[in-house]
Amino acid sequence: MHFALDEQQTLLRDSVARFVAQGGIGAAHWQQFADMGWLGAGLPESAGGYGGSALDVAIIAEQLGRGLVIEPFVEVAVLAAQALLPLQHEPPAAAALAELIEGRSIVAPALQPQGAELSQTRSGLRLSGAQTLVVGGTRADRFVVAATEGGGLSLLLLDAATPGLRRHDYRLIDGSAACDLHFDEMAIDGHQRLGAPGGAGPVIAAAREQAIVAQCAQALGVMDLALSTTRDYLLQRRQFGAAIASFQVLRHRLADMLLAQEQARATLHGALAALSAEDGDARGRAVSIAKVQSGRSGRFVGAQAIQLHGGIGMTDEYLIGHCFKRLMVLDQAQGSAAAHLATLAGRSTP
Amino acid sequence: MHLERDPADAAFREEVRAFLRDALPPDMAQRNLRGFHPTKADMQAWTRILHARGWSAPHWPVEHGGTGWSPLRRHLFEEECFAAGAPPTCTAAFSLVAPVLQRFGTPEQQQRHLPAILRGDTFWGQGFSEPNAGSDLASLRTRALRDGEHYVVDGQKTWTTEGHYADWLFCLVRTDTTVAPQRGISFLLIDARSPGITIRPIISIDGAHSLNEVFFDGVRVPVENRVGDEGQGWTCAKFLLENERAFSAEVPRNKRMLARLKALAAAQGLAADPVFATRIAEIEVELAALEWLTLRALSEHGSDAAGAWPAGSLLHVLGSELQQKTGALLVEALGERGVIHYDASDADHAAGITADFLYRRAVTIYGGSNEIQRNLIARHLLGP
Repeated sequence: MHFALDEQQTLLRDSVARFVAQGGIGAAHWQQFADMGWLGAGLPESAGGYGGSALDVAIIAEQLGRGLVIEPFVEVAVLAAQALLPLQHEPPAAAALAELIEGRSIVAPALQPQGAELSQTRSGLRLSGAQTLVVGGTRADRFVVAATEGGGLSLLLLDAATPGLRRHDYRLIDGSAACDLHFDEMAIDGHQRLGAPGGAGPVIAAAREQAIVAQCAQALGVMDLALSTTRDYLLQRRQFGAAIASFQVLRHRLADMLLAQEQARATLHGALAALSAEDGDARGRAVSIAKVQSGRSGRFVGAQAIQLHGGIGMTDEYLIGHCFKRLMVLDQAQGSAAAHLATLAGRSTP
Repeated sequence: MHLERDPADAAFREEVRAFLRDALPPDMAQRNLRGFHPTKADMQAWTRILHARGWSAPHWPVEHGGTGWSPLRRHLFEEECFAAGAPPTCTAAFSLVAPVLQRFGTPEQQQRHLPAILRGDTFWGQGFSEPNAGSDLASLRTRALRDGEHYVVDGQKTWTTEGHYADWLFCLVRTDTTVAPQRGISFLLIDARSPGITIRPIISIDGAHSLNEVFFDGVRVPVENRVGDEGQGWTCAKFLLENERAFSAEVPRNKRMLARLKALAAAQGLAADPVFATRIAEIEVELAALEWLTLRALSEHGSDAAGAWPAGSLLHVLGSELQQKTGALLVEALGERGVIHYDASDADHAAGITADFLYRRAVTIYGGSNEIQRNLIARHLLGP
């Protein structure tokens, strides 16, 4: 076990950090994400990826978080891609995955276990219901959609232009683009379904685990930005004739922020280790633990960063409120801290 | 970064488990799982059993009788010992004074004291805190005046854990009042049976006697019992406290407490209570964070990376606060039995839970209070 980044990992981290440091990273840079190999970083070479691991993805995600990049990297390159990966023996999945990695098309994940339903009618398969909060969906060329079918979950790969698919676009509080998808008794062709009917539950669950770990890495990067920004502010801001960094009550609060951040980092390490080594149940627990800690630490660090900045922390123009809102969105993604805690307590299934 | 566990470590864990099954007397384990302070007889007997296997001081350098295990294996060993209910060895001897002797002691001092500690023959007590020198340790006033080949020590030490078991005391004393407080302190080894020493019990809020105050009245200490140069005591003390903190997350103890909590919750019918189950889950999350922070600190031990974050203070704060949180839930799970006055001789397991909870109020105070630890963390972030 070794916790320091090796040479290649350091190079990857530094290259992402340099890229996001230029600022203003948005939709126009998506192709560059692909050109730098990020979109296929966690995918095997057999799928057209670069053979990296969840750790490489986490390194990228953490730096994107630190740069407050709100592009749907985790949603597309991890969640959607990991859902397609086990089904790459089916040509539509393989094609979508290849285009996703190359940045030629965006596949957005609409994978909530409830909301959409696939049923067999006299006139064929019909998709009804909705999928909500589809991050990255507003620019998507395709959607990978979960729908209940029989007692299980099926996976569909739908072209964004499919008749009967209605999109309602909105923004999240951190500025990222999302949408709801409404399925108006859409006629579904058998070839749009990937894998066995009702058999996609485990695939989706595994993809979500990968996505959660990447989200935790992203949140860690945001916490790091909030903490270091707050640290600099305490050293520079003067009141009562002294730098406010000299006041013990503020020093202790900053110490508590570091404690929270390091707890989040530690459970991320635990989840990354579990992704490669543990079996289903232990892996799921380690991932839920990381998500709980990430959500709690993120909200604490974000909230205290605002508090320690005082009034300036309340302004939309300043960075720190955006950290807080980004952390709120990341907590909500793929199940909030509260939801995962309920899972750990045996009160619900993931 | 490579987070995979080494399968050889799992085999090592099995080896330790097998040893504990064979070597740990069941009655000793029973006593220690309850939560009361260990007896000297148990500590000494267990140290001798460990010594016979060559395992009484895993963290010492091999040339002094250590095992040569990696920091991770030492941690796994400790975890298994705790889970099985093995009593501790004398912390003040093995973990506090011994590393100081190995780093700063003369060959004669090392030869005189280390083998005796290793065999479990001598117990030690710490003489650092004084009634008016707690967090502000450098303000200590116990005087040591040079008189030929001796120091004459006068003053008072307090909070000496297991001082009544001790054959030897290691003390910080003031040898020079004319220089800055930190520079006038020396580190002395004092035979606990020297004339002029009085050790009195301090009964703590758990009703037990583990703490002591120690009075020095004209105690003569040979100069050869000074560790390091005169005035170097503060350097020794800082080294010792850093050592103490580096292993203070107490993951093994926290794990044992969580296991006990789950068992008690099940026995009390609380496991199905969604509120209680959620609070147990919260503890599991914090314990996972603590464990992975500890694994990181162990893996970085002695490397450059270790200085990049205030690991000792972070681990101390998180590990101690988690013990208190888990202990509070344990008492809560007892219901009204949690506040009934107990006696250490009670066969009832419940008694040990409340006693342990009460004693563990100390864990956020000793070794540098958590407020001091937060000062140190903040200094790491912000400078002085």
